[in-house]
Amino acid sequence: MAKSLETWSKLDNSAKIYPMLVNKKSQNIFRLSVSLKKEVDSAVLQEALSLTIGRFPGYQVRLMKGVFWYYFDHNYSKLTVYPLDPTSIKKITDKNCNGYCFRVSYFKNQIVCDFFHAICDATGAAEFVKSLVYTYLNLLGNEIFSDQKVLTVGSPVTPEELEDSFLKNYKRVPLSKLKIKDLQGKKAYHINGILFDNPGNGIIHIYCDVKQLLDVCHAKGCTMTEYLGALFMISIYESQIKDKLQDANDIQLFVPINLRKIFPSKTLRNFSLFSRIGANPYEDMDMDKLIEIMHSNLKMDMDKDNLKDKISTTVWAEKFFLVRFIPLFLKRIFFNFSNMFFGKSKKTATLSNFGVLDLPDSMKEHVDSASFSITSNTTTPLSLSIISCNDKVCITFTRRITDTDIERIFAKRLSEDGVDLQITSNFWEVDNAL
Amino acid sequence: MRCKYCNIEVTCESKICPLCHEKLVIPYNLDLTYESPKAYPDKQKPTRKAKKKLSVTRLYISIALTVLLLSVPINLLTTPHLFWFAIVAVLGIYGFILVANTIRSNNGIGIKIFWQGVGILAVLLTINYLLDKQAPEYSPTWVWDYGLPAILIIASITTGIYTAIALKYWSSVVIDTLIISALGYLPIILYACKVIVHPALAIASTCVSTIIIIFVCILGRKTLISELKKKFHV
Repeated sequence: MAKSLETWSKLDNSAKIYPMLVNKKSQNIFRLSVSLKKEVDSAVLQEALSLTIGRFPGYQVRLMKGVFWYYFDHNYSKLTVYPLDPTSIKKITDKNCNGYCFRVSYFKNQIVCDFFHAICDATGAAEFVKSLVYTYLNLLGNEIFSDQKVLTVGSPVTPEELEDSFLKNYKRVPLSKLKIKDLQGKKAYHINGILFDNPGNGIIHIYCDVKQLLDVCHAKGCTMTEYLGALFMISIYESQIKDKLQDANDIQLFVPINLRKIFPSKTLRNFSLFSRIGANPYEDMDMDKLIEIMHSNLKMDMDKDNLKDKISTTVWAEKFFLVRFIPLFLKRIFFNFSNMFFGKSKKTATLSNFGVLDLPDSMKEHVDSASFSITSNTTTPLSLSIISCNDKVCITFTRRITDTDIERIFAKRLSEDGVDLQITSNFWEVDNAL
Repeated sequence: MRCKYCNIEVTCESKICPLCHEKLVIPYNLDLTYESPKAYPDKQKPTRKAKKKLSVTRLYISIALTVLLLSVPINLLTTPHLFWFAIVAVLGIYGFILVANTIRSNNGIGIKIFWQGVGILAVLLTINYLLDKQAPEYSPTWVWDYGLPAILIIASITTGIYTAIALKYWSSVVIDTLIISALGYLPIILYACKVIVHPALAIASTCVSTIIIIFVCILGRKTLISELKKKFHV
């Protein structure tokens, strides 16, 4: 399997759509960043990257255009580390990343990795980042043990890491069982605001203690995703809808579900689906009610049988002979058109909870914190992402609008619930903040 | 540093709160020698290179449009029976292809050569059309007889040579070479359809294409099959 990937590979089921949706202004990118306790040595990081990439053949690729689909070709170009670009999170192009679908940067004590969603989801990317940091710290002379939590450079590449888990879990189902209607959804409320006149995203990181936040969640009898999702929806309501006279559509959050927790899979490629959670801004804007909505929706959408049908629907769509044999340029036009009219109009924002970045104990003492960010775009200009590492939670808002009112209300409510907050920002909205 | 309005601690280098943009207060117990770290690099103004790229394209379009607008009245005043300003317009478009597609873009050799061929053919067809109107007895099919085959011969030879030289990129150019060479059969088809009257260059184009295709198929059979599998996978 590894040998065949050295030449070329097909994109996995969910990756197929991402290159088609790339345009001048947006690209589905996410960022995983690890803050170390000491400043990063770029030369050592470069060496660590050159070693680590060999362990991840699925990431040593270049995205190429075929007649009917995109595909990955082995990339022989040099993989380089870059100083962090002030334009956060910059598009990943053939030019600025030597054809790779990800970019590794450094800034002071941070190692920052940006990934184009076509090669992997955050869980797959985290394995790469952990391996990179592990190799880097070892090259610096530290004695770090993997504790079987890190894919080390010398360990063998297994076929399971490279598989398309969608295909593995696909079962032919009758047309009547396909969840085509579930993929459509209702019209959603769109967050308003003045868009930045330059590329890049405004980023605000809110750090807090895991235990403090979990205590608040447990007191409310919910999980962290449910609590923060409810808080996010209420912040959108208070900032944007409450004082407006016009009728607003439902607030619809897209919450990615990591399918590895439900189906047996070790893939380092994409293996996630979305749960769509909607709340009526005139009936449901009570914290307890929103938590209940989050809970019931997530429970329903994480049901194994339900997910099996969803996987079958997406794979069926890919395997449908008409879709397969339409030339790529026509597919691009079709997907962009349908995304413009049906996809983006049915999403208010994305909330992605990565969970815990589980590091070996010997690595923890060198790592301060981690952050996880997903890009936003002009139609869904605000995204929320969460990651926990070293007993610190990092809640990141990524936005394309100048206004920070939603974040302010969110932080205020979180603080009122008894959580101590520490905040950093890239001040993309301000020219002379420093 | 703290924001007394949001009740949060700001840990990056800043004088204002990232949420409400009010001034931050210094806590009484803060060590004044401590410098808050920067969370992100400083913003940069647009580079000169980015501005230059934008201005070159705009400059070209402005000059081309000015020349075209000047040529229209001059043409109508001096030679009203021959609309040579059409040639100026097509040359302007060809110039744009040359600048945007051939010189400044990162497109592959195949696409660059293809659009060059299309551009040159458009210029020749415009000239042919105007001359045809001016003097119908003057060979009206010279573009098809000589122009198109010559373009295709040059295109096939160029891609063939590039494929032979740039062995590093062999796999990425082999399909382009094959497609461009296959286009070399177009003149002989046009001759069969009686569009072309004088077949000398059409035959030459067919021969050149055949030789290149045979070479590509013999020397790069494995790469070719592999590339075809990649490009045409469903």
